Amino acid sequence: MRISRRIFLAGSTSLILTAPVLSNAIASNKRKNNLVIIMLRGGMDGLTAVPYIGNNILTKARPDIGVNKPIQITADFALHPMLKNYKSLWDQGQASIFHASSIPYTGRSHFEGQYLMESGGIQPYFDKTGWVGRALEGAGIKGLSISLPMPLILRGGRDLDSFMPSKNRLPNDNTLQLLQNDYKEDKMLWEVLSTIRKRPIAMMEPKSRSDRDMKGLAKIAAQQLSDPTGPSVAIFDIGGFDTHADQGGDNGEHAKKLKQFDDVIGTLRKQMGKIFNNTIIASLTEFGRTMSQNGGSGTEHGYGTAILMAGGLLPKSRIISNWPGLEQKNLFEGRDLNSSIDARAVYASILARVLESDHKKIVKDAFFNSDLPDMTKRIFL
Amino acid sequence: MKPKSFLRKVGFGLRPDEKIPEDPLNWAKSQMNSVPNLIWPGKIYSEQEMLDIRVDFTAQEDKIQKTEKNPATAKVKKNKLYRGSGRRYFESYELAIRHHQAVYGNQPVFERFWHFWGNHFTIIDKNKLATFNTGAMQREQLRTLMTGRFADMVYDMTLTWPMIKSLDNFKSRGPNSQFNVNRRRKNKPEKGLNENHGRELLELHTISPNAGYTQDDVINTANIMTGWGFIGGRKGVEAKKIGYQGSLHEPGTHIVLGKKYKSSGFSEKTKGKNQLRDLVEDLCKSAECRRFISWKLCRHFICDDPKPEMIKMVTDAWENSKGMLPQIHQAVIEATWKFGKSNDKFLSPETWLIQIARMTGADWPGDPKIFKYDFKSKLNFKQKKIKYILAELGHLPFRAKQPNGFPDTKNEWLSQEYLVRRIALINNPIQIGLYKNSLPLIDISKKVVEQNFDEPEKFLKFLNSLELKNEQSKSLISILCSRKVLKA
Repeated sequence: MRISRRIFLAGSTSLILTAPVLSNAIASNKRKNNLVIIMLRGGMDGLTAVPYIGNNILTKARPDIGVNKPIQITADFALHPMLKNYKSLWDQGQASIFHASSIPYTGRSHFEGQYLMESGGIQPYFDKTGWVGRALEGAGIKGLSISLPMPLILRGGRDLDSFMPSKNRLPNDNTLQLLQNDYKEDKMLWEVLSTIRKRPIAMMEPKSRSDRDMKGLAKIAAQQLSDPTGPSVAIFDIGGFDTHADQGGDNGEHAKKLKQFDDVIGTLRKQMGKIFNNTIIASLTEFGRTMSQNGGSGTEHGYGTAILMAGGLLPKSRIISNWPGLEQKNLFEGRDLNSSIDARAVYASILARVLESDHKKIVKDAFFNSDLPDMTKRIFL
Repeated sequence: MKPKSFLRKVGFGLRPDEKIPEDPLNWAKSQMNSVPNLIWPGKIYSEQEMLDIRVDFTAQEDKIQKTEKNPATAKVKKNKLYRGSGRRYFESYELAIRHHQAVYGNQPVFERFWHFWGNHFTIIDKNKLATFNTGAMQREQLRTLMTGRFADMVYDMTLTWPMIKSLDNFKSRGPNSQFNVNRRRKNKPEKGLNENHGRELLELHTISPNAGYTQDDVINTANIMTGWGFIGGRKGVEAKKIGYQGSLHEPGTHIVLGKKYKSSGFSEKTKGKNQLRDLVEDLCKSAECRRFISWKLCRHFICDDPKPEMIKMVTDAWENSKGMLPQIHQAVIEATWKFGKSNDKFLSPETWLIQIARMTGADWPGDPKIFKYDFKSKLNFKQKKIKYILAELGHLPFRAKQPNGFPDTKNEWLSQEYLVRRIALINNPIQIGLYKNSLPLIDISKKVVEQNFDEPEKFLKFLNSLELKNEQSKSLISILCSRKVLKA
């Protein structure tokens, strides 16, 4: 049923076919698939976003920072009350959660962890490119980061842009041409400026302050992803999940950050329209947080966490997990939710689906041929 | 290396009227021996004054939040409080002091190192610290520590008010401290350890993960740090003092990296107080610490991927001087002189901004008189533009989001959007204080090239060709955003 609906949509894109620029997707008479990665820096607490409610073990360990009004979605799991847009996607069969997962890193340092969640490797500060960038390289697909910097996760790709709206104007292209000449001897500067000069007009116009909040940024990403000649990958970067103190429960610091995440998802859903059916969104963080609260009503750096996925490319809503349990003996080093699977396996399957590529090729291109199980069936069938 | 490139690699370049030092190496090295006075002619607020203003502000804001139920009235009251307390003013003011010093001061190399250490001991953008406290702390404490030992700098920075606040150590309590023993006796839930600051002391401030410490080492470092926090606060008002409370300290001996830290002292109040000092001394004596900090300094000044011979000059100076910062700094300068290559280091947005201000002779950050504020009016654009521009460039120095601070390599500082922001800034040169009545842009551009390029001929020829084509308006961007000026 669902599959046939997608085929119908793919067949109804004649408008796109008239677009003057040929990209791979258009040339092959197909709507392009989109991938959105939302990076959650600081260590997103999977047990706050998607709390375990099978028994009271979690609430006991977190007397001051428990989620008191969870939205139950299965017998054992719930959503944080701030994830309202996510919940409505869940109800529409467009949200899946991979619980108890982590990148293969147990050192509990933010900066090593963030490096690895972006590089896709196993040695901090070693690989100079990112897993999304490597997957895009050669595929002829554009990537866009909604941020000032070009994040490591996209580096290594070819047709990249980073964007944040601003009020200030660039000079005319004649002046930029002079700089372009000067940059001939610096390949990186040359490429960066070339992309700037090719930007669509919508990205060149001065933008007001309100375009800079998460919803505004998501709107821009939705516009770009909806453009058949635009990027197929967008990266968001939300910081502030490192709540060592005053983490809060239903409200408070972690909740505020989850709401930003939810705003991005809600805005993308609304703005992308039908394009959302060819899209998958996934969260990414460096580690989860400790099962128990600490001295300051916060949590410490942990290990396993949840990957929140959404989008029309998902066949149905479900929790996918080899749930390790929260009893003391099941915790990693006696303190953290364990990881039951290398998160990179999940991302590899997502990439394979979006790029319509072979799982083995993705693992080779993006993840250094690491030994990653093929999760495609568990996520997409 | 070539002298003019060197001056930009370790300093901010030459002003239009500045003479090139006869002996650039010694000119730079001699700046490390003393802490230059601040040349800002306006009022300098002490760290304590800023803390008083802050604490008063947070108490009043809290009160409005708690007592004023009508959102419209609350907004009016808050706005009045914001103006009266300088909530929107002080960060710009502090930035102006910092940039004024860098642009007009006579020890620019010292200022570059000051900026480096400010980022090394990052106070993250949290709890209005950037608004009221970070700048004043860096001015009053960090700056004066730069002529002493690295170990003293680490110890003192660990115990600054903003650091304790931002890394939560004031919330950390020994699980078996007197405090928790009492709570257990009263059947109250215990309030335990907070690892945040302990981990960053090891990872970011001293030895780095390369030292191979474990989770137990992190926990024991946090144990050692328990007791250090705020003292003398009362309900609804933030405490202003940092101090040690033995009753919160985790008793006993703690092992970090195989070494035992015993608790000395007899009084219950001060027992265990010595452990942090002992630990910091050992961390700073270690080879890992020397290597990590020396590498980081070389990366900041010389190139993104410093070579072992560069780092060795600094670690040698560290060992010989037993960790004295002037000697360490001088070794970095010498390594730059000896191994540095021209235009090999992509500059951070703030360093680039200060360099172009200094080299063009722009009115930056503006006449100190315009920063006078009556604590009643709305800020005018001149007063807030320094903060606005640094935000546009993506580099407000007191507002790093994470405790590892701002990045320091080309891969991280060069992106489409970062470059757009720099070009767009120069596209409107009034913003940086090059007004319509300043020298013509083409003359300013020529002066920058003559004064600061080791081989100016090609660029002067280019500028002359622009003049012939009547395209002078393109000159400033062509020079200030050229790869020569973006890099040092």
